[in-house]
Amino acid sequence: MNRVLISIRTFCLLLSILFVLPIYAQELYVFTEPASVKPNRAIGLKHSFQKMGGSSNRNNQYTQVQLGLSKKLALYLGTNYAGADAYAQYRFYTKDAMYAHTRMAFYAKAIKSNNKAIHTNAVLLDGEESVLGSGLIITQLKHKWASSLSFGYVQKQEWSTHYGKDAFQYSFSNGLLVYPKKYSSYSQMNVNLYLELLGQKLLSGKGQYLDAAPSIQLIFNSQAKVNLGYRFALLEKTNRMTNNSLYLSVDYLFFNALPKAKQRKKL
Amino acid sequence: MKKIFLFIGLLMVSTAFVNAQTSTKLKVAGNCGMCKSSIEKAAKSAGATSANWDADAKLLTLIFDGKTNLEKIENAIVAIGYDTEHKTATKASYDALHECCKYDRAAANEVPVEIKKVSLVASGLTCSMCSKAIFKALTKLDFVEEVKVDIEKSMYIMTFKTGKKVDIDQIKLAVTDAGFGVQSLVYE
Repeated sequence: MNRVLISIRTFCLLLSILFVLPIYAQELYVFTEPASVKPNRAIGLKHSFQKMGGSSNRNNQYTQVQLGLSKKLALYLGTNYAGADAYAQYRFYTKDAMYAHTRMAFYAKAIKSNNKAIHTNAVLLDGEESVLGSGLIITQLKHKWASSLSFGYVQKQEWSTHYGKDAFQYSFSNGLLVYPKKYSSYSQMNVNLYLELLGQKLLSGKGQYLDAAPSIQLIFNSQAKVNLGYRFALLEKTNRMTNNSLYLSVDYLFFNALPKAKQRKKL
Repeated sequence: MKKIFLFIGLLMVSTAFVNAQTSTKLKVAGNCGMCKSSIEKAAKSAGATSANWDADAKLLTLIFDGKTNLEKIENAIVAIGYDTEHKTATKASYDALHECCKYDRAAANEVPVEIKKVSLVASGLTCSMCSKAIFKALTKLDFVEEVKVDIEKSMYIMTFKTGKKVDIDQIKLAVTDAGFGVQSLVYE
C-alpha cells in the first residue's frame, strides 16, 4: 500500500511540474489517441518495440498503417503480439478557436489473436487475446494545457467462467511541448513530454489496474516521431502477465498520400 | 496528499481559463458613420474587446479573447443587416437598415477578378506538425504558387500562379480537410 502511495505521490509531483512549465501543449500522445484524427488523405507508418517486464520478459514488435480517410475518419491496421488488429476513429464534434480546440470522437477496435486462451482476469490489449472494444474520446487543447480523456468497453472473444470477460477501459493523457520555445521553421526538432494514466476496471469479476505512462517524444521535420515511454502500475488488483513495459516507437506521416475521395471511388 | 491534488486541480482550472488575445481583420460591408457605430457595437456585444471599422477599406479590425470567436462576432454583425466576409445577412435584416446604410450588396460581395494574395489564419492548432498538415494541403492546390508560413501565428500567406483561377472555397476546404478551422481569410 505504501508503495502505491509513493508512486501516486511521485506521479502527482511530476504532473504538477509539467503544468507549471511555461510551454505549449501537445496532444500527439504516445500510449493513446487524441480525438483529433489524421489529416484527410494522410498515411502514417508506425513501428513499435515493446519490452515487457516481470516474469513475462518478452519482446514484441508491431507495425501499423494509419490512414486518414476523411477529415473526420481514420483507420489503423496493424500487427500485434500474435495476430492483427484494426482501429477506427470518427470525430463527431469539433470546436476550434485560436490556439484551442475541443474535440470528441468515437472509436472502435478489433484485436485478433492466434493465441490460445490466456488465463488472466484482465482484458489484455497487446494481441495476447482476441478482443473487441469501443468508446469515446474527449480532447481539449488550450495553449499550455492539452488533456484527453477516453472511456470505453472491451470484451474478450474467448473466456472461461473463472476469468474476466469484459472491462471498462479509461485513460487520461497530458502533453507539453518543451522545445522549441518559439517556432521558426518546420525543420526544428520538437521535444514533447507526456504523462498518461491508463486504467481498466473489470466488469465481470473483481479487479482493476491503473498504470502511469510517462514518455518523451522527439519530432523531426514536423513529420517523423520517435517515442520512448515506460508504463508501470500505480494500482494492481488483477493478474496480468506483466504490469510494466518499456516502449519505443518510430512513425512517419506522409501528407496528401491517398487519392482524393472521388478518385478513390473510381478505383 | 490532499494538498497536492488541490494544487493540481487549481492549476488545471486556472490554465483552462488562460485567454490569449486574437487580433484579426474582417471584411464587413457598410457605407457611413452610422454603419461604423452599429458594426462596432455589434462586434463588442458579441465579446470583442476592441472593434474598429474602416469605412474606406470596409475592413473591421478586431481584438478578442478566448471567451468569444470570429463566428460569434460575424453572427452578431449579420444579425443587424451587414454582410461579412463569410456570412450574408438575411433580406429582412438588410431591409431594416436605415436608408443611408443600405450598401450595394452586389458590389460588397463581389470577389476581385484577380486575387493576388490571400492571408489566412487557421484555428485549433498549436504544434508544427499540425501546421505542416495545413501547409502541405495548401501547397497541393494547383493554383497556389507559394505559401509563406508564420507557425507561431498559424498564418499562411499565399500567392498564386499567373492565369490560374483562385478558388477561395478550395483554400478553406484544404484547411478543414487537414483537421482545422479558418479563423480569418483576407484577400487582395
